[in-house]
Amino acid sequence: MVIGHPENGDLAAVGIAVPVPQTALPAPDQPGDGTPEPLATTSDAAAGRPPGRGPRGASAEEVPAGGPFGLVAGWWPVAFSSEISTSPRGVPLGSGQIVVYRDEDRVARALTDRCPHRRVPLSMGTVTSAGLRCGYHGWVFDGASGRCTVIPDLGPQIPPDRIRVAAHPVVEKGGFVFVWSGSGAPGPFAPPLPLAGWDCARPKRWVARGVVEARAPHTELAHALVVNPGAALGLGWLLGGGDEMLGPHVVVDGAGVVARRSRLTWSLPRRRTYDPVSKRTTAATVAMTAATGMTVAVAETPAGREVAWVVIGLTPVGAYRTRVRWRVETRGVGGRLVAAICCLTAAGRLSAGRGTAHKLETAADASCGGWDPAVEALRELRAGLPVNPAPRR
Amino acid sequence: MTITGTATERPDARTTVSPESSPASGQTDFRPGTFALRDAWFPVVHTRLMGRRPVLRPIHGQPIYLWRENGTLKASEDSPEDRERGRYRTSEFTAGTGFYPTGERYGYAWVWYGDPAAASLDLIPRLPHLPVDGGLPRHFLSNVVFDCGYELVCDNLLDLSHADLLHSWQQRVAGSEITVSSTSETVTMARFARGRPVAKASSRKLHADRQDFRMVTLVHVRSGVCVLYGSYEPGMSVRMLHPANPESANRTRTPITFDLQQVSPLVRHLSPLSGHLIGRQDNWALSAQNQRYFPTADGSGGPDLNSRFDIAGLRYRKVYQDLVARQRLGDYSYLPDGDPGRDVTAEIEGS
Repeated sequence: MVIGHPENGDLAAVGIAVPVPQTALPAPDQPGDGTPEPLATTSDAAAGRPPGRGPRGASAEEVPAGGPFGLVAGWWPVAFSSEISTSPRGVPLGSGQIVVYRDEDRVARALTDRCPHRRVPLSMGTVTSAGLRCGYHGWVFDGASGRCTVIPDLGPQIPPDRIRVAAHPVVEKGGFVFVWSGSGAPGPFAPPLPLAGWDCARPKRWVARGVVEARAPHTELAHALVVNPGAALGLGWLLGGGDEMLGPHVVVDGAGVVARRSRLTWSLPRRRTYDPVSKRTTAATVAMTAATGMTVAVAETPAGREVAWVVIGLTPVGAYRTRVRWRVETRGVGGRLVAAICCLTAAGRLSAGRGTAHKLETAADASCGGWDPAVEALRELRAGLPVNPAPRR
Repeated sequence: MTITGTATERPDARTTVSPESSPASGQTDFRPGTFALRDAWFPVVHTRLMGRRPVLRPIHGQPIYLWRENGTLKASEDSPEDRERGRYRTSEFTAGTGFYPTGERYGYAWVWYGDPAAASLDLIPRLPHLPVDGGLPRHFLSNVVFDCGYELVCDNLLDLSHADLLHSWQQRVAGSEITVSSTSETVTMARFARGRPVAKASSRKLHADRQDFRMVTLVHVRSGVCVLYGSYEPGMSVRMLHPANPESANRTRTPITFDLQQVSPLVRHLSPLSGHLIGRQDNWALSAQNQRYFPTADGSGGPDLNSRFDIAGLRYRKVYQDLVARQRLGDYSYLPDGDPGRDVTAEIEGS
C-alpha cells in the first residue's frame, strides 16, 4: 500500500491546508455547558478522524499493550551486544525490570530481575557455572529455563521444580540484544525492516554509537524518528534535518512503515520569508517496525547511493521515558569519511557537555501536534496488533 | 505555620486494606512499612549520648525530640526552640500535652509510642544481660542506620542462610540445630552447633580445636527490639541489644549495645566497629529489597518462595501480621503470653 504520495494528488496528506466547511462549527444555541466543541482540523479531515480527536489520544488508547512488561508482544532491543557481559546488568523494560547477562558459554540470557525468595534484584548477583546466583541467599537460577538449580543449604538436594523465575527469550542480531516481551511462545525474529536494505546478518563496519535517555513516551519518540530522524538525533548533516522538500513516499507492509523523503540538510534560522541560506537537500529512507519502533534510517548521496545506515533501538523505560540506542554503520570508501565526521561530531558533542536528549525531547514534543502519513500508518498498524495477554501467576 | 497530622491521618493508618480482607499470608501479604504497630516502648537513643542539646529520633515518622533538662529526660513533639517560639504540636501520642511518656533503663531512653494512658514501665522488654541502670562504656555503643523498614531488619536477624554469602567470614549454618518458638509478641530462634572448628587465631589461646556454639535471637515484633545472645564453649560470650527503631518506611536506626565477655580488652574495644562492617553488607541487600515489598498499583510482585531454612522468618511474618490484624480492629492490648516485661533469661540461656 502506498499512501501520501504527492503524485497521487493527496494534498492534505502532505500538509497543505484544506478549507474547513462552515458546517463543522457548532451552532450558537447548541446545548451543553457553553464550551464549543473542538473544531475540525485539517489533519482530522484528511485522516477521517472525528473532530478534535488528536493523534496523541488515538495512539495512547489503541495500542494493545500487556504481557509481563505492559508492552505489545515483540522483540525489544534492550542493550548493545557489547554492553552485556558475565556481570549481570539490570535493564528496565516497559513496566518491568529484567537482568541481562552472558552465561559461562557466552550466551545472552534474560531473567526477571527479582529473586522469588526475598525479592532482591538478581542483577546484584554473580554468574556461576550453574546459573545466575542471587547475592543475598545464594539461590541459583538457570538462565534458559529460569528454574532454581541450587539452594546452598540444601546441599546436593535439587530444589522443587516450582521454584523458578521468569526467563525471557533472547536473540542477538545486528549488534543488539533483543528480548521477547510476550507472555506466550516467542514469535520468529524478523530482521527489522528488510525493506530498507539493512541486513542485520551482514556485518558492516560500525563507526559510531550512543545511548540517550529521553523524557518522552515511546510512541511519540517513534513518531519523531519516523518523521525527522536527522533532527531528533543531531545527525542532520547525514540524514537531513531541515524542512521537508520532497515526499514523503510511504510504503506500508504488515509489520512496519518505510518513508522516503528529502529534506533541507541544515535546519538554519530563516529570515522572514526569504529563502534559507543553504538550500542543500539530503534524501533519506526511514524504516520502522510498528510494534517496537526499531528503526533503520538509510542516508543517501545526491546520486542516490546508500552511504550509511543508522540503526535505532527504542527501549521504553517506564511510562514517560525511553532509552534510545543508535549506531551508524557504513561501508565502502565514502563510509570512511562518514565515519570520521560521526566520530568528530560525537566527540565534539561530548566534549561540549551536550547530549542529544534535548533534541529527541523537542522532536517528540513537536510530533504531538503535527500530522504525517507515516505516523498515521504506524498508528493503524499498532491498533491492529494482537493483544498481549498478561502472564499467569 | 501549618502543622499536618489529624486523627484520621495517623501513621498507623497508612494502609488502605480493609480489616475484613481475607486472612493474611506470610508469602504475599507481608508489606513492611505500610502499617505502624503502636503501643510499645522504643529504645530511641543511648542515654550516654544525650545531653542538653535535643536530638531528633522519629518513630514511624512521628517526631520525637529528646533532651535533658536539669537532669530529667524530656521527649516532646517539638524541639525546645520551637516550643519557645510558641509551636506546640500535639497528637494522640502525647494526649495533648506535647510530651511523650519516657523511661530510662538498660542505658537507653525509652519512649512510648501509642496511647499515653496505656504506657506502663512494666511493658519495657526485659533484657537480662544488660545492667538496668546502664553505665556501659561509650565504646560498647554503636549506631547503624539501614535504608529499609524495621521489619526487614528483624527478618534479616532471624535469617541465617544469608550469612554464608554476605558475611562469608562467619561460620556456615549447615550442621546446626535450629529451634524456633514464638508468642503473640515475640519470636525466638536458637541455633546450636556442636564441635565447630575454632579459628586458628583463637585456638592457641583457647587450647582447643573445636567448640560448641549457641546463638539465640529474640525479637520483640511490635517494637523491633532484638536481643542477641551468643556463647562459645570454650570461648567468649556475646551479649547484644540490637533495637530496630522504625524512623520511617525506608529508614531504620539501630542503637546497638555490644557486650563481649571473656575476650581481650582490645577485642572488647574494637567489636562495636563490626556493627558498621556487617551493617553495610546487610544494607546492600536490604535497601534494594525494601521498595519491592511496597504495594504496587497493579498488585504485581507475586509471593515469596521459601525453603525450610526460612522457618524463623515465616514465624516472624505470622506474628507480625497477626498483630497488624488486631491493631487494625483497634485492639492494641498485649495478650497474656506476650508480656514484654517477662523474664526471658531461661529462654535465652537455654537452661
